[in-house]
Amino acid sequence: MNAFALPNGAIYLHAGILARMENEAQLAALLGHEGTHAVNRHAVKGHRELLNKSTLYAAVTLGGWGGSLFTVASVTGYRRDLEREADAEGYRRMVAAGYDPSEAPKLFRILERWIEETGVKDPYFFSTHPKVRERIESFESLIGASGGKGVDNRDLFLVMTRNIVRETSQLDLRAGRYESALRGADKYISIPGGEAKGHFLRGEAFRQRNGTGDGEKAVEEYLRSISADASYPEPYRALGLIHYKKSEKVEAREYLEKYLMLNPGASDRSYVERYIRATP
Amino acid sequence: MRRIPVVIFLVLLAAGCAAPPPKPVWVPAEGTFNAKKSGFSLVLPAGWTRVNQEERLMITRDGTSLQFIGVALYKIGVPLKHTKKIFEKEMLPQELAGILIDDLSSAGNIASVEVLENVPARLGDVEGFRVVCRIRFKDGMNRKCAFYGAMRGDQVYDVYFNAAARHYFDRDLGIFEEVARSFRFLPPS
Repeated sequence: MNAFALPNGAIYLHAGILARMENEAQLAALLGHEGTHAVNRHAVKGHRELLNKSTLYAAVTLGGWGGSLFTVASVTGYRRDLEREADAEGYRRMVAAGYDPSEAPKLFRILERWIEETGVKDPYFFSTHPKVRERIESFESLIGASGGKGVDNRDLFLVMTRNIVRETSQLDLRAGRYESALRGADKYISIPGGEAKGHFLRGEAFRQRNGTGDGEKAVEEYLRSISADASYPEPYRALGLIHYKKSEKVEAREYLEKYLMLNPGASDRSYVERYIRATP
Repeated sequence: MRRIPVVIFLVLLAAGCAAPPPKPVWVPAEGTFNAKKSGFSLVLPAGWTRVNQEERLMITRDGTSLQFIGVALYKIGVPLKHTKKIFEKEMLPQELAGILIDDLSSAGNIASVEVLENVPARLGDVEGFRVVCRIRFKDGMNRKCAFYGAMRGDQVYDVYFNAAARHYFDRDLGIFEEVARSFRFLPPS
């Protein structure tokens, strides 16, 4: 999970970081930080510094990866003073644009919690615990110095990013990161219109995690999903399979037939038809 | 003094002659392949080469970057390479297939996996699944894969075919289907 600005000014945000943001003010804090790296030419400064260290430069150039150092620093992070400069200038821009400055450290706290939860060891700047901690402390000291209030545009931001939130939660589920998947599903449920799919995602996370009591929690979530939108087919299949595995044939058949009725073109139709045939 | 290098040369020469020839890495694949410890056998096609190992099956015709067929075994209860999910004893074939697809999707060098087909199928004499996927790698390479799988005992067997999406997958899919049809579970040794 990362965000970085290339020397040409292009700013990249991984979808995972966007999915974990809570509002537009947090996005503004990140863009302000990365934008400062580009505007203040931090990559060029880093490269010049390397040029001055002529021996090292000769070694890396002969080694064939000298040019890529321009971009490596932008992805893995700059010198501490340049990062502080990006924090301060980015913060100033964020406040000038009318955003709530108290949201800046909150974003980095979210990232910090994610790093701790997943134990991720990516070499990316925003996946590195000490560097994220430094951002929190840096932004807290900036807030302490300036104070101030502003907008966060939370509702609009969540509606605009809802698909990324759901897809990221699904990616977490595929990778078996159940806690992250559950957190993403919770966020999706909080977005208007996200209840049915969000509860289904929670159900899937519980069912696949299969810990103590997870089976019951999964059933509850699937039923909530159906309550939120009775025409959403996925929870019917999930409930059908749960009953099928328990040899509860009547219930299994009922849910599976409902699933195929709501989703006649289901990609797993051949499996489901086989289950139904086995539940006369 | 001059004799010493000559003696060393002769000793090295003798040692070189005495050493057994190195085992070839790749050998012709045709015929029945028995993996007794892993508990399966299958018939390999003519004109392909296989990795010269007793239990590990990996065959190719034009090089592994263009196509390969292999068999992978997964222990129940052990997390897979890319996803943290595990196979469990009471899982349905559809759930087994889902975990293998999730593992493929979670690999760091893969941009996307599109499931083109996922249907019930037999592997040997066991109910299992057959999946066909299109894989887009982050470096832009496009491949397709097909795999059969089933659970027997405390292991999930995965017979897979992976090839460049253009030309090679379609050309060699029929050969893979023959290999997969020839798959037999051997009695536990």
